[in-house]
Amino acid sequence: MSFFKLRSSGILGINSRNADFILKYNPRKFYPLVDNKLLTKRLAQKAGITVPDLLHVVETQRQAKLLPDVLLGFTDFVVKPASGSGGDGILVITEHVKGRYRLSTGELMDKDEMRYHVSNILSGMYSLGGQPDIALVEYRIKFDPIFEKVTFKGVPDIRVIVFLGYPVMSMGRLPTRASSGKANLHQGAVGVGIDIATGVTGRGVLRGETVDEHPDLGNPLAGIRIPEWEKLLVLAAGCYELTGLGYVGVDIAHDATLGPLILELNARPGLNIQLANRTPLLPRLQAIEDLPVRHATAAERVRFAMERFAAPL
Amino acid sequence: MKSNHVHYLVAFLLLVGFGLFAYKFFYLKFPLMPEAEVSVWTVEAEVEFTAQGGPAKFTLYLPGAQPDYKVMSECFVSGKYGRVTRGGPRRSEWALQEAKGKQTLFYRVVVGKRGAAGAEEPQVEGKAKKVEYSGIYKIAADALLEDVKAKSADSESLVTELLKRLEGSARRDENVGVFMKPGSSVTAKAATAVNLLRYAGMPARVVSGIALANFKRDVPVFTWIEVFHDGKWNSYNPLTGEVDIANDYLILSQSNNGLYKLIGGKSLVIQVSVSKNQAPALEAVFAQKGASNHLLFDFSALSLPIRAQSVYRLILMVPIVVLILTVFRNFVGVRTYGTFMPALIALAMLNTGLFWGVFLLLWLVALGMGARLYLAKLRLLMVPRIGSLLIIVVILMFLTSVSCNLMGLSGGLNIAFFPMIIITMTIERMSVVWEERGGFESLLQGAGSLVVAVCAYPLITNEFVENLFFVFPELLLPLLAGTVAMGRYSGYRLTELFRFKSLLGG
Repeated sequence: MSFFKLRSSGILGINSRNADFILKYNPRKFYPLVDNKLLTKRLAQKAGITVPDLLHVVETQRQAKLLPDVLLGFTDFVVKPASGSGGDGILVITEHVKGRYRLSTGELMDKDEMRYHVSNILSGMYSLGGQPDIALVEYRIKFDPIFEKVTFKGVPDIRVIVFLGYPVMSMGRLPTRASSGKANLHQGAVGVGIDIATGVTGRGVLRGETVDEHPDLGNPLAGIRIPEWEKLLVLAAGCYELTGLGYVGVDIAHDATLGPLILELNARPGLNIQLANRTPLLPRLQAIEDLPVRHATAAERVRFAMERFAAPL
Repeated sequence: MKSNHVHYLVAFLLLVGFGLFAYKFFYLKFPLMPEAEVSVWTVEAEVEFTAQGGPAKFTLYLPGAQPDYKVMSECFVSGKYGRVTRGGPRRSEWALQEAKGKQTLFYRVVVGKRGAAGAEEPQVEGKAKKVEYSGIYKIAADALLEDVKAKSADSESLVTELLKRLEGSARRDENVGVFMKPGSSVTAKAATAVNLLRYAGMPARVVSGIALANFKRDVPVFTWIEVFHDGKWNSYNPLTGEVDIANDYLILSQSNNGLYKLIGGKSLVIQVSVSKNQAPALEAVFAQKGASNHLLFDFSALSLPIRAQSVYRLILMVPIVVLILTVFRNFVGVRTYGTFMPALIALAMLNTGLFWGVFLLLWLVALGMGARLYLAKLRLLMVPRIGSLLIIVVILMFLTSVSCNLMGLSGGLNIAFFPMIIITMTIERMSVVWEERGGFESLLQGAGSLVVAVCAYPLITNEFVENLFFVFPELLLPLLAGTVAMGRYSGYRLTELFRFKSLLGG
C-alpha cells in the first residue's frame, strides 16, 4: 500500500539516491576531493571559498607523540581525521586546563588520551575502508550566537544539498545532550528545516519524530533567521564547480567574525533533510534536471532556487 | 540505453540459465530430487608414496563380489606405471622399472546397492582352503583350539572366544605367542585368527572396507574378519570379537594383507573418499558418454573428483546467501556489519547447526567485546590491537571447544568453523560503532547481521536446494540475473516506510 504513497509523495529513498543521483552525477574520480578534508580545504582556499584555517597536520605516529607540545601554541582548536565520515573522530577543544584539554562537551582529556586518539586516526580507525589517514588540527569556529538558544554544548551547522550547482534544500543541525556535541542526526542531533527562500527555520525532527522545541533546552526551534543567507547559499552552490560533484551535501558554520565557513563536503548526503523540512526532495531534483538551460554562475542559480523552492506558507 | 543494457543482460542470463535447466531436466532427465531411486556410491582412493629409486610395485586389492553391493564401473589413473588387474583375490598391480620421488596413483570405483531380490548366494569356494601347520605351530594351534572349543557352544561363540584370546592374552598365553608378537597390528591379528579358523576347518577370510557415507573425505579403512557358518558369511570385529559390522560397509579388499602391498617405496598415504550420487544421473552419464551430449556431461559437477565435489556443494550455496543478503539490504533496508559477514556466518552455521551457531556467535562476540574494551584501555596502535584481538579470539575459540568437550557438549566443538578474521573485524567495528554512535546502533547492526544469517540458514541446509544447485549449476545464472537486476532497483526500502512515516501521514 504505502510503497505507492511513498512514490507519489516524491520522497527520495536511499536506493534511488544511490542509483539515480550519486552513481549518475558523482564521478568516482572526484570522491577523493571530498573524502579527504585536507584536499577539500586546499582546493577551496584556491577558489577563494572560505574555510576554517588549517593549524597543523599530523602524518606520522612520531608527530602524534609530539603533538601535545605543538598544541600548546593554540588556545582552542579542532582535531579531526582527514578522511573521516559522519562526524566520527572529531574532537573540539575549547581550552587548556592544567595540562589537560577541555572538550566542547565540558569533559576533560589528558595528553595520553589525545595521543591515543590521534594515533587511532592515523591508523585509519575513522577512515573509509580503514585506510591509513592523517589528522588535521584546525581553527575552532567561534560560533555566531544564531543557534545559541537551541544548541546543547556543541557545534551546530547548516547542511545544504547542492544539486548540479543549485541549492535545493537546507537544514540546521543542532547538537543535543544525546548527540554529545555532534551535529549528526543519526547520533541524536535535532534537524531543523530552513526555508531556501528566506533562511528562516521551521519545525524540527528528532530521531524521525517532529519536534517544535529543543529537547534539552526547551526553546522553540522555528523562526530563527540565518544572517547573510544568500551569501551562504552562493558559497554552497560554488562547491559544484569546486568538486565536479553533481549531488553533494555542503556543511557550513557561521563564525562570529569570519561569517559563513565551509566545514566539509559530503558526496553521499543523508535523506533526513526531507524529514526536517517535511518536504520531499525528488520534485526539486527533477525540476533542476528538467531545466532546458542551466544557469552559469552560482549567484544566478541561487536566485533561481530561492524563487522556485520557497516553502509554502 | 544504459538501463536497457542491464535489462538485456538480465534477460540473457535468465534465458540461458533456465534454458539449460529445462534441457537437462526434460530432455536429459537429470533428477530434480535428491535420493532418486537406487543409491550409488563413488569411492576414490588416492595413493601417494615416495619411491626409493629402483623398481616399484604397488598392489591395491579391489572390491569383488559381495552380498550387499555390486561394482558398476572402475577407473584407474596410472601415470607412467604399467598396470594389470589380477584375480583371486582381485587386485590391481602397478609397476615401474625406475621410480624416484613422489608417486601418485588413483583408483575410482562406482558401486551400487543390490536390491533384496538381486542378492547373490554367498559362495564358499577358494577361501575355504584348509591351512596345515606342523611342528611347534601344530602343537600350539591344537592346544589353543581345544581350549577355545571347550568354552564355546556354537560356531559364533567359538570365533568370539578365539578372537578374545588373541586380543587379550598374547603376552601371557604361550600358545598365542607362537603365532603373534605382542602389540601386533589389527591386520596381523585378523590374519592369525583366519589361519587358525581355517586350520580348524572353518572357511574364514580377512576383509578391509569402509563405511559408505553421503559425502566424506579421508574415510578410515577398517579391517575385520568374516567366517562362514550357518549358511552365510558372518562378520567379526577382530579387536572385540563382537559381531558388529553393520551392513552399510563396503568391502574393498578380501586379502590377508589388508588393502595394499608396496615394494620399493615408503611414506605411503592412501586417502579414501566416498560420495553418494543419484543412479539415474549417473546411469545417464555412463549410458550417453560418447554420444551427442558429451559437453554437458563433462561440464557437470558430477564429473569432478569427489574431494572437489564436496567442496562445491558448499561453494554453490554461497550465491544463494548473497542473493538473500542483497534482498535484505536493498529491499528491506536491514543494516549489517560488512557486506558479506552474514554470508560467512550462515555458512559456518552449516557445520554448527542453527542453535549452536547463534549461541556460539553471541558468546564469542560478547567475550571478544569484553576483551576489546580492555585492549582499548591499553592504548595500542590499531594493527597490533586488532592482531591481539585476533589472538584472543583464537584462544577463546580453543577454550570453548575444549571446555565444551569436557562437558560433553559436542555442539561447542564446531566453533572453529566461524571465520575468525571476520569475527575479529566485526568485534572491532562493533566496538568503534559503540563508542561513536552508542550501544543501540551497534547492537542494531549486529542483530541485522544475525537475522540475515538465520534467514539464509533454512534455505542452504535444505537438501532439495543443495541438490538442485549441485545438479543444475546453471541456475547460478538466474541468481546472477537477480543480483544484477537488484543493482538497478531504485525504489524504496521497506524500512523507509517507517522512516518517512511522518512525511506521509501529514
